[in-house]
Amino acid sequence: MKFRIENGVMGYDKKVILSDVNIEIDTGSILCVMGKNGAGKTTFFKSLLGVLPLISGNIFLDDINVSNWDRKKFSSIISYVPQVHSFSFSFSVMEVVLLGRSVHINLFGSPSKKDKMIAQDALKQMKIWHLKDRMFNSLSGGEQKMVIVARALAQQASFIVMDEPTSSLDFGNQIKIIKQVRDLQDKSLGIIMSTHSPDHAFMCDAHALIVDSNKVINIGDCKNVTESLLKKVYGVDILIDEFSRSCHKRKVCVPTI
Amino acid sequence: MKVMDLIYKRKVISQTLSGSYVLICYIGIIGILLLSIIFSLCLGRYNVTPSEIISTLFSGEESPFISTILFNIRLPRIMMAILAGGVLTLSGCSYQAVFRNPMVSPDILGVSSGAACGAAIAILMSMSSLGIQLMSFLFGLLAVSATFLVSRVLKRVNDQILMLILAGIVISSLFGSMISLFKYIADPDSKLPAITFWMMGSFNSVTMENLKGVLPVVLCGTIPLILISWKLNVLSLNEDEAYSLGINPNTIRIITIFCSTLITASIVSLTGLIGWVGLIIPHFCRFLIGSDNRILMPFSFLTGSVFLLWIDNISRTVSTLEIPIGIITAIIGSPLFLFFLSKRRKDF
Repeated sequence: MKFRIENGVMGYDKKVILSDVNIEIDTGSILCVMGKNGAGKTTFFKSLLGVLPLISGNIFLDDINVSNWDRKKFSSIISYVPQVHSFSFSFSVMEVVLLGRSVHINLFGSPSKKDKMIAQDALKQMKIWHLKDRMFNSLSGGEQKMVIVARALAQQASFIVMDEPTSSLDFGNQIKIIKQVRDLQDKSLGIIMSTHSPDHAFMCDAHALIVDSNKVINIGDCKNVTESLLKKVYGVDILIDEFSRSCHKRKVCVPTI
Repeated sequence: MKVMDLIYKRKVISQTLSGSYVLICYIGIIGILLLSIIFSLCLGRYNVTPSEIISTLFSGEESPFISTILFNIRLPRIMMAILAGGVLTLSGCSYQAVFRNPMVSPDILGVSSGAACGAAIAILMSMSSLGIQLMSFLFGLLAVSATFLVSRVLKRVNDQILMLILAGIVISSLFGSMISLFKYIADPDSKLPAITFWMMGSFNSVTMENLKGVLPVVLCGTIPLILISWKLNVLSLNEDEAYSLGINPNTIRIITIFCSTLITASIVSLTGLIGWVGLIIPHFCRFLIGSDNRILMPFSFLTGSVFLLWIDNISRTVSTLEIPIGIITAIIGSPLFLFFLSKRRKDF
């Protein structure tokens, strides 16, 4: 399945924040969105999720124009892993993951056996089955993130939008999340995630997208990310080098201080 | 209090909630409710033993005296206490889910002050008890509708929930001052005591007919609330997250507020104002059984029933003069509430 935005103009009411957005993502690939704080990544994500309608332009799913779909229909193809999640009440992990089934359950309905099976599968896929009866609010940040990703899996959408999945996680948990993202890619899900570290894009062999001064720059393969580009976006000097030891071979970023 | 401490400790240590624990809680509360009903039937000025109740209920040999006491006096009252406790707690739970705040009580949008105002007008106009009931019901709904309208007019601020609460405060105090006005002009020998007594809440005058009249309305509100309870969990998330899960939070909010207002108004119109129940019982139940509304709401209903049944037992037996329900719920409720607050945890 292919998700495509053509000539998108994004913003609130009449205020344009991003113009000329042309992106394309396939299931089974990762798109890393980078850019400085306040460049418009949040607006970009809200538009992807259908929360914020495009000012102009079209959204296609394969070759079907879905620009006019309502938010409910959007949520059956794109799920969302927000950056921060706070529940005003404490739910168990299983209950949180079950919420991912909402779009498939009618207004006065409640989860069926099948929904529970799907939620259980999602927990097992994320390898957090042992947490299922724990209270969500008592988990660590890394565990919470895993649970929210499991919820997105239970939604059974083809694409997952992750808003800075690694933010405020310790180093180990960041790597674990990136690993999980790669596993999801192998399960032929399309993942669109924002990150502040170009290294994450290198680790995922992702496609890169840079949001900068009201524009979305499509870089394509992250191998095309250059030192001069990073300098332009982040305003600091960054060297890109090839790291190679036994079978670990990939590009790395080295900021010069 | 010792028992509660143990419950808290258990939950803090394990921080888990398993299915069998939930089942035990349910069996426990149903058992307590049944025992409380039997005990309450025995309780009163005239002593009836449990064996007499059983023989009156199941075998033909009944003394007309005992059956009159049981079926015409005690049973309607007990059933009303159960229904009122359950309904007020359920609507408290729903309101708390809608407003994402465990400290919200069902009268936050003005249903109680509206109902009280309606009752005051009806008493002032010397209406029948049915008239009082209808007037307070209608005014309860009117007040909440007014709150809704005001919050819509003040739409300029983004936060819809905050606007609702602020509008609720304004409407409540408006109706409150109207009540004061009616009290001021009411005949101090007959009408004023009636208004005052109504506002303190009582099951004194409840009959089987009242119950039959209010039951359909209560069911119309309660059944959708129980059915929608799972979707209420989604309201605990922020707007964007709810939408991305395919849920329109506003639809759920409006249905829930409508149903809870309907049932609260119908109960309050019969019993007068009964505070605290809708605030502390959901609170207590959430400690005990977690926040999943699908499990929490029926459980709260049962717990609220037990609570108000015992409050009523105290009300009618502790002295020769019946103590109004609303006063006892406040006397017992406020220290309990403080106790719960002091036990409040991070993950709650």
